[in-house]
Amino acid sequence: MRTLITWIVALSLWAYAHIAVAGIWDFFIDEGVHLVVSDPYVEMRTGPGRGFPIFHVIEKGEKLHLFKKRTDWFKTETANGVVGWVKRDHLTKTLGLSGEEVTFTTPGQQDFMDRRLEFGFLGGDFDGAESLTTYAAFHLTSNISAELKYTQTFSPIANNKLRAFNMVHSPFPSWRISPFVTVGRGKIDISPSSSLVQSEERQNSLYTVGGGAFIYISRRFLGRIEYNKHTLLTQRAANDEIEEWKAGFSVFF
Amino acid sequence: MESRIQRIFLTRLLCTACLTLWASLSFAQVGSNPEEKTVLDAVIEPDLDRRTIRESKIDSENFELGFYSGVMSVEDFGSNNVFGGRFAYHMSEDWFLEGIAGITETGESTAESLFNINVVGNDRKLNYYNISLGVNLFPGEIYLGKNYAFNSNVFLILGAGNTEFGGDEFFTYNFGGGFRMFITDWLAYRLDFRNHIFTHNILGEEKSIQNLETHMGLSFYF
Repeated sequence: MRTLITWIVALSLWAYAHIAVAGIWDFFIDEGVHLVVSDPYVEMRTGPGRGFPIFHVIEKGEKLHLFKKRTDWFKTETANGVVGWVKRDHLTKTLGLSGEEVTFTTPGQQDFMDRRLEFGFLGGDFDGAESLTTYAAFHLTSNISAELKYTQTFSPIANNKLRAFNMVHSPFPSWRISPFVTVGRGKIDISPSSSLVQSEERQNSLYTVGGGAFIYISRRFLGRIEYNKHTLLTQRAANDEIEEWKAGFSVFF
Repeated sequence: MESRIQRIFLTRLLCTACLTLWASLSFAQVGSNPEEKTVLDAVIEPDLDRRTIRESKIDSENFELGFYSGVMSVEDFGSNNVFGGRFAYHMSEDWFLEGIAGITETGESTAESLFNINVVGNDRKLNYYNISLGVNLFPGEIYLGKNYAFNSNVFLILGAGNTEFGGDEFFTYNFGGGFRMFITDWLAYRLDFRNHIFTHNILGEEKSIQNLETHMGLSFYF
């Protein structure tokens, strides 16, 4: 027991020393950005939205400290200590304290093309049943992405849970409406409704082919429509074929 | 004599003028061709690396994590306490995506207490999760006394999800609205009203039920 405590104390001291040296806490403290206004004036609002009132106007040449960001708005403190919110679009001509250029980027279609991670949510029709899908995608190149998908379907007869891994290929990633084809495989758990007599859960392997389109909406937001044809490998003489239509939206980073 | 002095003077003046012209021309040549750098240029030109400032140095707070408690009325099964959590991503000042998951314990339905039966089994809990799209409306301020003003807004929300109840799972639509008040930039008070609509046959026949929920909670922005 005593050895254990000694070890724990020694380890914590060692870890603390490393943290203190590496300054890991700096990670949590964002210094923000210091700027000089080059526009004739910049409006300051009480909150991060266009509906909040303008209560202060910053003049050209005044220094600003930007220290917080929510969507397109920056929380800002002037040299006189006035604190408020400024829209990103109003700061595009601003310069750094020693004349450095400042790059403010509103997420746009270029970010849609260059997206790496994507999380989305789709709803639709799974062979007459209502279906809900959540997915996460990782883009290996601008054309090819790998997706993990979880679908739940609901009908009075049976509820299904479907987990699948899909590869998605979009041949024209630069188009605003970008078509794609997909192939994948997974497993489906079929649980017949508990109110039916023969309720025996079963699991099948499943293969999927499909196609659809990504539709870039704005900022970090895209729409997705998709058609899938699933082939369920069964113990019976013939395999089951299921058609699925779905539509939804995703955010990307 | 006078003319001789004059000549010398003029010659000198002419030479100086020529020299000045030549010098200025040669300097102009250096100036027009930036490839050629003299020793002087290297001394005068500062070795400055123009940096650009990146937006990523500013702390962004677009995610919301929160918990809530309230009352949920499950049709036929009484009104009971509900507890849950939420996670949201704010895409713009207007739009946000939100996922919530909650749990409530249902009471006995009239049929169950009259005939002393149990239609939902031993586990009387109702779990739900859903993902919704919300839109912020009416930004404003709430005034507390004369010294304090808190930002606030009203929102509408619509989505779909899953309800697990009585040993079965149901596709559930939800819609509603709510109110958000920022106590600080990163902490908000939330008051939500939701209607969860799904169809079940637990009491015999297919029935579409509306389950109203109201809850209060706190949300942290990070």
